[in-house]
Amino acid sequence: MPQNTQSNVTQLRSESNAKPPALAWKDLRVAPPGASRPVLRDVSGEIGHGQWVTFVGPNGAGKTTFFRALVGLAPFQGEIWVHGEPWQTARWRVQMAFQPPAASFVGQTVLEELAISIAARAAHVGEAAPDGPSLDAEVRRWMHLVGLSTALQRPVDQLSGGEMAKLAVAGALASGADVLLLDETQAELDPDARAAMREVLRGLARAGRTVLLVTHDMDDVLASDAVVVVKDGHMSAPMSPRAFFYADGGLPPCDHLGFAPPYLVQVARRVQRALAIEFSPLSEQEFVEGWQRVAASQILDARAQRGNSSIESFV
Amino acid sequence: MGRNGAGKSTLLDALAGLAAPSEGEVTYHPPAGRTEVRRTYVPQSPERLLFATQAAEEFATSLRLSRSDVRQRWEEEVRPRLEALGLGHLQPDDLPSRLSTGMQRKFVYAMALARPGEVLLCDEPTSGLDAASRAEIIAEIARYVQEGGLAITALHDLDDALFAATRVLAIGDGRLVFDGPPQAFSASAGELERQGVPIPPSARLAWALARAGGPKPGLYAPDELAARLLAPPVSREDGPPVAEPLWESGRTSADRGAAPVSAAPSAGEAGPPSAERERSAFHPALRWLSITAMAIAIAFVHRSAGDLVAVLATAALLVALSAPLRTTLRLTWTWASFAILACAVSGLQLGPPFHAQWAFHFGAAKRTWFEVVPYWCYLQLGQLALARFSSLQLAALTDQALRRAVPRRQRLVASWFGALVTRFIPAVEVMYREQWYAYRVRLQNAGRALSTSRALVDVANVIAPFVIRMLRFGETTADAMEARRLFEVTPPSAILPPWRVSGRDIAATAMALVGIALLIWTR
Repeated sequence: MPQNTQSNVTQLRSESNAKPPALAWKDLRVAPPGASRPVLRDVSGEIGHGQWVTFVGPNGAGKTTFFRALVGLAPFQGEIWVHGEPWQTARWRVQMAFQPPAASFVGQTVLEELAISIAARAAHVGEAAPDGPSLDAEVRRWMHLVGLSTALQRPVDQLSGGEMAKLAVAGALASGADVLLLDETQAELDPDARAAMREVLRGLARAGRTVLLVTHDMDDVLASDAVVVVKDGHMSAPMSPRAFFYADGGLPPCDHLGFAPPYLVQVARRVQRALAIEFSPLSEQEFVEGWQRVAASQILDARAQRGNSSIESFV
Repeated sequence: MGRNGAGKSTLLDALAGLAAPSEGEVTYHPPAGRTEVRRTYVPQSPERLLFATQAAEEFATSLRLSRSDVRQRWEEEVRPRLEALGLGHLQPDDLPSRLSTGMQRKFVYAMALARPGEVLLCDEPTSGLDAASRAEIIAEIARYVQEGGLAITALHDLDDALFAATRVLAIGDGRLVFDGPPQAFSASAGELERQGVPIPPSARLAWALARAGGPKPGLYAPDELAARLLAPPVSREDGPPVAEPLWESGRTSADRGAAPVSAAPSAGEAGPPSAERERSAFHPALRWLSITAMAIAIAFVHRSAGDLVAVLATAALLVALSAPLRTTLRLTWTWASFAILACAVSGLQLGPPFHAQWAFHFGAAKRTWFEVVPYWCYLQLGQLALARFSSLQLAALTDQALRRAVPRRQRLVASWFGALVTRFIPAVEVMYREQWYAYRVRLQNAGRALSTSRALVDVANVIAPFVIRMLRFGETTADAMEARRLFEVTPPSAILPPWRVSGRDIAATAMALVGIALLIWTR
């Protein structure tokens, strides 16, 4: 059944409506090579500027296929627009960071890899490739943007997992990405590297780029601006993480998909249920502030006076 | 637990007996009635341990049974282990290497837990798995412990295991900074974070609340923490508590700051760019020219004197161009095995039915030897021609060299293909060595020792998964090349080192010319 969700995206920041969406797709139909039936059937949707959108869903649902179509690795039927221009002319503005990153690096050192990306962008856009000091300056700029602080001559095989992921993102950005695709790049990273990458992605979204991340990690969803659920070849409209993790009644989409919500969400849900208030934090800071407000508003004292002081009745 | 690089994997390697400690020792005390403690080790990325054969054969190796025995006992011994990890649908003839990476990992754990030793050592059992699979693995390890085993795991995602574990060892910067029960770990997590130990989300939240006046931090299930938060203020403990670390740290606390996204590049990095570029040793054109001329001259050599001159001249060039010793020795070893084989074959006269009797003709062998010696020179010269170029340098040089001769499309394909080969040959070597490591682990888990004879027989079990890994790797590379459309881009030459003809270049070329002259003279 075709899913027509030509919805206006959850704009969590005020954007001028004159700007076309960063990415828009209409009646998209994609079949991975060798598959008889298309995995994505007549999906439509759009994503605005400056958004970090996570894509979640069971394996084989079509997330990777969608990304491959966007980057030109899978043929598709339907239409895609990038910043208002048709995909065929503006496809260089959509770049992917591949997994594992080591397999996608062609240059031997960090400097070489970024120089290649910069040269590729220049070639596809039709400019002359930068040279000498301006090349150096541009390479340093991309590294600074992703927080990569290693030496330029460091061989790429000697980078840590987190550094490789950052270099892959830097390479995609240097290739001219306004729309950045990351397919499960967080999966093999340790928690520190994942947290650092989340900071990078937030920074990029804040600066106006659009980031699409496929992940199984609910902490990534917690930190993102919007989440799209892909299931059985259908893509939901982007929803806010608050709507994904907390629901007024019934099962939140997170649990419906079989994911385990993060610890702080689990605690917050119980508090929300017990106090019947709006309490849906997305970070530890929000949790603490919200709980301090609860404590200050003396709800708890009122409950105690009403005689609900035993712990058992809350949970 | 500990940060990446803190030493968790190294410690597990030592405990498993795969790495010998440089100081101290690892002792296992076998239980009464047994002579040794069998250890089952599942390292990181356990899918490397698979042999790329059928499921029955994989289990046959691990259980030390024959394939038919495994099929007979599939239902009682194998299927329960597979079902516990969500793989119950697998048949003995299925190929685990066709599964997704997550399912391959679970398969290796099913194999390891089918007949585990007294000690189970796991490195990152939950990495790369979704939430349901993580819960399954933790449950299986807990079941193993309940049945009397000792499980030592290195974990990042602690919240999965903290509630099931009985003891936590925290490693910071190569030292043990905490040893105690999980409750105490969560209670002192604030202190430990300052020592560089990553703390799980449950502990982070508890500490954030404690600092804001909430309940004392500890290890709480979500229900418990919610209950404590909802308790009326009067019954809660007052104020932010002072947690006492169970382990005294003699160091001053080093503050690991926020991610370096906000840090400006340091002044030292903004130095003159040319200072960072490699100081190249020899102008590549001269180098290639002299090496090619030398190779052609050596091709004319057929006599012992000429051979001697060729070897000496090549050795001189190796020294002059600072060839790495390891590569030289490796190529020599390769050549030597070939040479011995060639001489033996040429000198050997087989008995009936080919010839009248066995004999060995030294004359023929000697002649072959003189023919084969130049190949050592060719191998070493080949190393010299390609060595110490990075992939991009090779691509740019190839592009420049072919610019006038070859049409654009073919030239770019050749250049980038050269770059890929240069870039990935060292990576392929690393993968190959990793595969041997995985093979050693597999044998040890099955209770066998690695010996040359077994390795020769089993070499397919190393080569097959290695080839599959390389192919998968190559798929990603092909995808990346296509998506980036690099075959339409001229390799940037902006960062080629500024090669200049220097005194050394001239000296090396002169040496080559002398060598060539000598060769012609001996002819």
